[in-house]
Amino acid sequence: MDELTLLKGLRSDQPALSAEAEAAARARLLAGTAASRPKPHRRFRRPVFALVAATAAATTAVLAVNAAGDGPLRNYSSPVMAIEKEEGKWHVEIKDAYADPEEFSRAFAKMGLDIDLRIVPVSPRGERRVTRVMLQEGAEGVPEGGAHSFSINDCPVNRPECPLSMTITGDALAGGWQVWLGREARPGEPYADSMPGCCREPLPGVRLIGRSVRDVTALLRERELKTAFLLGEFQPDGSGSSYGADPSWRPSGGRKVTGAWSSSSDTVTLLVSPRPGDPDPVPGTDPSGG
Amino acid sequence: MTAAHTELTEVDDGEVIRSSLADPERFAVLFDRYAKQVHQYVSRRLGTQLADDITGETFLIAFRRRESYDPARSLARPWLYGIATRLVARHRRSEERFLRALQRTGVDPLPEPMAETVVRQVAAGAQDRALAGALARLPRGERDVLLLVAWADLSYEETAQTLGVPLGTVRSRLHRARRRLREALGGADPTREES
Repeated sequence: MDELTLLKGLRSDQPALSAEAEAAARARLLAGTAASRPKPHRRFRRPVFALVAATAAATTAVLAVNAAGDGPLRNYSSPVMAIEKEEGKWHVEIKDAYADPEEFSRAFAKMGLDIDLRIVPVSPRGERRVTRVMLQEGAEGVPEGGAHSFSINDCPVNRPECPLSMTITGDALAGGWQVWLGREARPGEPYADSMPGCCREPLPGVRLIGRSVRDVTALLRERELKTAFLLGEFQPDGSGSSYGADPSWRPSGGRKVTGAWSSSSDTVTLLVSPRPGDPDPVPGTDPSGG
Repeated sequence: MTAAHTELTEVDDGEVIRSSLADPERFAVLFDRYAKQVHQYVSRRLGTQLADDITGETFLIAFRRRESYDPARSLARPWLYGIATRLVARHRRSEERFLRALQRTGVDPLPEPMAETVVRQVAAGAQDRALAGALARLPRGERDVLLLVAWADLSYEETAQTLGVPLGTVRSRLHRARRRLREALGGADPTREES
């Protein structure tokens, strides 16, 4: 088997074009073909935008908010971040991803924005993505009308470095927002987007779920990965709960692993179903509770 | 098979594109023929999410440029892959970051593949990491050639058309890229299975 044959196998089972995405792309094309006619087929247009919107990139979070006026400053720059307002958009460049979040908040406040920005360590699939957008605690509800989005920008083509940058569109003056952006985690740093579940394998091509704790811990040890344990139950639809016991606790080797996920670059957390005699939960160890 | 059906299925891409000049919606035939292939190729490079967007954009750009297409070319695949590859290039840093992450952590940031047998895939895991690291380090031109051949199943001639480079350039880039991959795999026996 040569290197080309091996390469053909890499990512060979990527998910195919979904029916929804295919319909959206086809509708987008048909909108283009219709628009090219002297008398456009207007009936194509409205569904097109609906379909395209349905497949909008997950790097963009869109919220409905009300409309309001301009912020007090148009530009702001500090060693931590730069913000520039332009035609109803705010371009935000993070210069120091490890800065105190208070400094981000102060910078946004100078632009009249109430945004609690956190740059959080995440798994590789979450890097440079918006991982959370929510109203700050105590903020008023979201009124109807308008649209508000936070989206990560791609790397600039004319610069050697690739700063983490975000564009905010719509009216960001209403409400107070908490926004999390994902950054590369340091080795061993816990992922902020580590989500427990039952059915997704954390290592490509290696089946962990359904095997014994003994087998799985051996497989992980071979890969120089650490193991952590949670007790709980999750359904295929993602519903369920879990809790942690004392970190030194280990289930017996014959118990079955019912869920597994990467919780840091060097640790895989394994889920086992609780049994009588298992230790009590340690408060604050439910990952889904933040 | 009826004569009419035969006629419909045998119209080549060049003819479809030519007829779409008068009947724009005819261009959708190309989408139906190639969208899944283009998506699969882009998805392996950038993940499903970006592939969804790039596939749509590829066909829209192709439609807008259809007047420049030479209808004597019966297969539009190289043309479409060329557009898609240029769109992929806009995300070069993301692509390399994904590959480096796969090499570094062993976890592919793209949606994970479905599991097959454990023994075969345990062996493939280490190789995937080495391959990913080598791909991330390849010059863009070599990576494009290599992945058009390996992942899009294009011939050397089609790859040359896709990238607008001479056939000899494709051959030399492919040769260099394969050598770099072999070096990245080191002394490991690629057929070795982990017990």
